[in-house]
Amino acid sequence: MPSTERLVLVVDDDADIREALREALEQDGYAVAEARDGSAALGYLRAHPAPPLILLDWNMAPMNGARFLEELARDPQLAAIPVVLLTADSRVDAKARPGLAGHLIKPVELEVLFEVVAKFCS
Amino acid sequence: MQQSRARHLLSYAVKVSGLLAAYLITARLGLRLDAVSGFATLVWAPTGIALFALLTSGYRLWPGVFAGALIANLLTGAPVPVALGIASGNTAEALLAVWLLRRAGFDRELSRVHDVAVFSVLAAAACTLVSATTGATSLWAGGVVSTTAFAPTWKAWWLGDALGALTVAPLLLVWSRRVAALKMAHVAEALLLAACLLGLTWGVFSGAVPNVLESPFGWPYFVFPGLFWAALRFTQRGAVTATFAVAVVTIAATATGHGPFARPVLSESLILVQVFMAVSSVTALMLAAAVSERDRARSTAEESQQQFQTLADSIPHLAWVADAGGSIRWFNRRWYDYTGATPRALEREEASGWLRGNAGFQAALAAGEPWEQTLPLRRSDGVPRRHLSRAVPVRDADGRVVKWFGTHTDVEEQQEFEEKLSEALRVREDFLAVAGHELKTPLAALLMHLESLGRARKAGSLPENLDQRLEKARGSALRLGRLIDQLLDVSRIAAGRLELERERFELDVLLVEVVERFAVQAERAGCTLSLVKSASSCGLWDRARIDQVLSNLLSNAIKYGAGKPIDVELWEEGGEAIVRVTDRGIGIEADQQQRIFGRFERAVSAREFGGFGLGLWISRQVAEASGGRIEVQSAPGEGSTFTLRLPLGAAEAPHAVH
Repeated sequence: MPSTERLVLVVDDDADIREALREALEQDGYAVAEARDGSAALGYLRAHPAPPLILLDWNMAPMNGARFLEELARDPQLAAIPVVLLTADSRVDAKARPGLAGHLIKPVELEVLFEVVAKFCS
Repeated sequence: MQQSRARHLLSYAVKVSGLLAAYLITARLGLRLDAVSGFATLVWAPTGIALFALLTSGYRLWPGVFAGALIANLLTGAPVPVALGIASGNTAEALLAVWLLRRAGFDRELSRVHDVAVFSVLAAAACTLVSATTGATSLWAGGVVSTTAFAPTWKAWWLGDALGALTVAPLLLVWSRRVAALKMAHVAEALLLAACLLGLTWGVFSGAVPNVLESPFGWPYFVFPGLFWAALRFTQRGAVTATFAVAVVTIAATATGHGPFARPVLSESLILVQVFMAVSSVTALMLAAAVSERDRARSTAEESQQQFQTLADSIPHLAWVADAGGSIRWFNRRWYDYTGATPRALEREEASGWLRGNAGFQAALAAGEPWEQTLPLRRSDGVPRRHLSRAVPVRDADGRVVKWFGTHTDVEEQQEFEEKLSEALRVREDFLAVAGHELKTPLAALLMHLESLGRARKAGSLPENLDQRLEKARGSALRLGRLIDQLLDVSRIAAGRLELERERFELDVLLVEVVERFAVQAERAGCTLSLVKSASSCGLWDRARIDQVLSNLLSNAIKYGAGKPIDVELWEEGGEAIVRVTDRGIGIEADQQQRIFGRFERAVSAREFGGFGLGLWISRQVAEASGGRIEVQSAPGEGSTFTLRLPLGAAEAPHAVH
């Protein structure tokens, strides 16, 4: 199994966003795993070593970001994984979610994104 | 200027001379009636004439009074200094009386009890003391009367002046006003009254009616019914005329030695007559004033009642009046028209039922405070409609609530409008949030591609898959463009400007194109796309718009039916081309199946799935504008089938869609 030190799990229902994130992160030497919703992400996490960071979209189906966070907190194996929110929905109140390690708004500048990613993937 | 000044002077001179002449003539007549000491007559009309003249024409006529009094007394034989003293007293009496009356707010019509009272007390009783005192003193000082004759002279002078003021001045004041002509019935009554009054007075005072019952003071009070009749029915005019007539008759009878007041000495008889007449005059004037006040109050009340009724029946509101206990006693006409109730409901007390059962009004009733509430009220057609109901307490002079005045205003339409408006605003707000999110998603992907490529270039190493990545960036930009097109479609359709560019084409060819276009997307979503067609279906439709509809149906099928097969079929039936798209995805609840075609609606929350939720609304608008329709059959958990039907034959004339 490859090293997970520079691995980011991207959870987003939009294929275009997933692809763009993958291209950008891989170009800077990160590895990317993708999930199209919360339950797919949980499935990945239970089958693979924990990544140092999860980039989470909010509005997804069937399992959205909020429910994914609840499931994550309930699982002692996964609860400690840092999650950074990456959403275009300006109505999400990140402060009401103390479990979040960060909150980015789409469209996000890559420099900002890489700063956050670098903080967790040393 | 000069001319008008001359005319003014002439007019003044005429008035003064007239006053002088009237004063002089009545003075001479009065002095013939056994004047006490030759000067103090008991019948002194000049006082009344002077009062009238100064009240109506102003203080400046005083020389008429002065000259009249001076000449009358000189002619009677008074030495010049005495005559000057008497004339001064008489003039001062009139000037002082007018000054006092004006200060007391006296009105010349004598139609208020106040006017009669101030006139009787100030002008008739008080100011005449000035003239009597000055006159008697002048006579005494001039040696014309002895010290012993001073008191009777003073008394006769005072009484004569007082009665002159009381009978003559009101007569002139009242009759000098412009008055409405009497009706025939009134004229007849007036003649009858005059006959009765004069007959009675003459009968009593001339001795024609024998004093058979031996009344110690005769029957003078017989004149009162006549005076009251005059005052009650003809008010001021009746009172002053009747009083004057009675005065003339009684004085004449008494002067000729007849009637209950006749005494051996005429001046003594006249004193009795004068006191009697003074009381009668004040009584009749008071009664007339009271009647006038009552009539005015009544007509004011009637007028205000009339105004209220007119107002209450002409306002668009329903109005009601309840008593202090909260029972409704009156409704306006609008209430009956609106509710279909009849005035009989008021009698049966059922009209107050709604008010009695209203806790809010009962609380207001107990507190005596205004009440306001929105209530349903059944209209005559049985439909309950919301009303803004208000009531305010009406209080009497002591602050007690005597009744409640209430209104109902139909606010049903206003409230419906407000509800619709706030719903529309909420939908629009939601839509803007969703639209913002949807537009930002491809924009975010596009920017990430561009920035990432920029970083690579700066690092001096362009990626090997550059073309592929540029293509992806382009894809995101195109997606953004499609979303913008959709927004424009919405505004176009909402404005009724959806225009179809019809051309004849084969639907099966278009369908194959669309299905092929979605092949990659379907594969990525894990869907197998199968197409079965049994006709070529040529029709006159807008190719781009039908493409848009088919794309929307396929894109929805892939979005909501990911991982399951999707069937697309085309056939002809009953003159229609029918396209059916069937997925086996999450399906749609029965109650949502119509809503999904609405604007800004979708069966699942906007936050869960991408897109504006406008696709099906636009599709339905396009299908209907093309003369066809679009329908859905679905069961939750089993999938959905969308059916598009388009007319094959001569297409209907295109029409705008709203």
